[in-house]
Amino acid sequence: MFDISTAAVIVVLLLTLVMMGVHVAVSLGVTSVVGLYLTTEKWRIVEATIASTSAEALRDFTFAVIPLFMLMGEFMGRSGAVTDIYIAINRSLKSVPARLGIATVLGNTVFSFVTGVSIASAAAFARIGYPEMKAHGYNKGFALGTIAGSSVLGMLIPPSVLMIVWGILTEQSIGRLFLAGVVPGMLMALMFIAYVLFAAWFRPDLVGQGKAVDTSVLEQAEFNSSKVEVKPIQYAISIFGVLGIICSVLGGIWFGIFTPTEGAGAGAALALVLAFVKGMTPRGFIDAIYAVGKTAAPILILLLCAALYSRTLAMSGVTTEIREFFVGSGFNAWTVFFIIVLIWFILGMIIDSISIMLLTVPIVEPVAVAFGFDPLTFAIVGIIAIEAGLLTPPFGLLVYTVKAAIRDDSVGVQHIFWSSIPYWLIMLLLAAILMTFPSVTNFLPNLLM
Amino acid sequence: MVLIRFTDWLTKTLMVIGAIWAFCLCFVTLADIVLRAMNIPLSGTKEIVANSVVIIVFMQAGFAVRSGSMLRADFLVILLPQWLQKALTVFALLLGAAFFLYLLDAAVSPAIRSFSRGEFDGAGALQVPVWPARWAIVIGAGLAGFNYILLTLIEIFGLRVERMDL
Repeated sequence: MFDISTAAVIVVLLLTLVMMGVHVAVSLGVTSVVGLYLTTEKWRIVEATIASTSAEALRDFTFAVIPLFMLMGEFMGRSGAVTDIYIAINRSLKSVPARLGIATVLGNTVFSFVTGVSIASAAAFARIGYPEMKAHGYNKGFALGTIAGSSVLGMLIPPSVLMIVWGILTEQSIGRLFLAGVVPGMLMALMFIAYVLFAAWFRPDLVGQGKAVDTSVLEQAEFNSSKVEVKPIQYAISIFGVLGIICSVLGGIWFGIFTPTEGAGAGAALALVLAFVKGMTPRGFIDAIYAVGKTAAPILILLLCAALYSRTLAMSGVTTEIREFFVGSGFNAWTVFFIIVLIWFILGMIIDSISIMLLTVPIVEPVAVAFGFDPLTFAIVGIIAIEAGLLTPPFGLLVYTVKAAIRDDSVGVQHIFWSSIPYWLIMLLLAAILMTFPSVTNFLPNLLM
Repeated sequence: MVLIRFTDWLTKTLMVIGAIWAFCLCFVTLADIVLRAMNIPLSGTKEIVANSVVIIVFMQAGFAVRSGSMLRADFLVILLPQWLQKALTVFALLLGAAFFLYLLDAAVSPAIRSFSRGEFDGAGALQVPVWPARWAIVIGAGLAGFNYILLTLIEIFGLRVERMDL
């Protein structure tokens, strides 16, 4: 039964609690309890709903995909294979201008295929790529902006935790979402490279042209990629290992040999083998398993509370009402789209991307579909818009991650934020392109599935 | 203090078991794929994995709360005066305790019912009992609620307790 005051309470209470600093999962849960009581007026039903949701919402084979893909990313990250690949790309680009910047974007693209979270990429490349860029006289802000900017590829190129969450929230095939992200991800990587080349052409000082290489910087660095001697056999193990895992996991999912959850499980097991071959220590192994527990559990608790909130929205009729409001408002489809992206972009400045999805997707997705937007394209564009918020102040998580990873006081957060602007502008541009040409995202899913 | 030491030990132990359990799932799914390819289907894998997710999450819920890994937005809160920040933190923690203890209360009778009636998941040769997942919710929600109360006390009295980490 719908009643406007219930709807207002459900939406406003949630936002107020989140703004007050209440844990997002708790805000979702408490709002659901209040909303369910206002709708049904029976505590018995409220209790039955939350008990059954907590038992059933997560009791699904699909949810195991989150910890399993995280496990794969952890083992991969600790194997050092990605560092080898970065060094290989970097050395093969010898005479290209701004090669370190380009190698960072390309290295991130490869790393994105094995990791589901951008933060992992940002931290890894700040450690392996930054010292050398600094030694070659790169503008520090520009170097770190490139690292932070290109790490967003982690969420757009499969596997991606954001795609999994989106797929679960909107009941879309996770395999199709994974496929849909590939072409836009590649396109974004190309646009980033074009920007780096463009910047190097017009402002050679940004990439340290004309400056002598300051090797003392590299000597002090915790990781010195120019000094690392990688044997050809190590390169071969890393490249074939990483490519082999990518191809078997994603290929298996796309050709329907196994489900995303099974693919993630197999990928984690293969990555474990690669990590041990590459010399992961027992301590590193234990740390990897703990790290997954620490990051996956809060996300799954959030998902559980979001499922409860979705049920509350549906039971109280708020979702239908909001959709009806937009459909009846006389706005054209693009105005609605613009409003949605603006909401995401602003929320992206203040809260993390998974929370934004859980708070907004159950409401805005039906609206977008009602306006005739392609659900797959809308998902990819949504992920891009939400990710762009990770590069903007004040909450730009990726910028803080990069800053925390470099331990260099001479460059401030504001410099990195400033240098990241071109990257999120490119992301918004790409989002607009994809919305105009939905065939770009649908190309691979229609071809292969 | 003895009580805190005990619950902290319990929180960590459940977290570690949950983490190892999650790791083992990758071999369960891998075995399923391999055996299926060899035409020896392993029945019940999906049900085992599905029920494991619930158990793992609730085993780790207490740790997520106690270690401060639950996500929150503090962009507005940090602009406020110190005393108000403290008041809001206490309020947020109490609300967390209230929610999880309410969940504990709501989950107890379905858990008892599930155990006594022998509720099963899946069809065919291998059926997976559901009651362990139901009880995991009761225990996990209880521990999460207790840890929220603990954090509230730490916040109010400024107790010097180590931040939990592994």
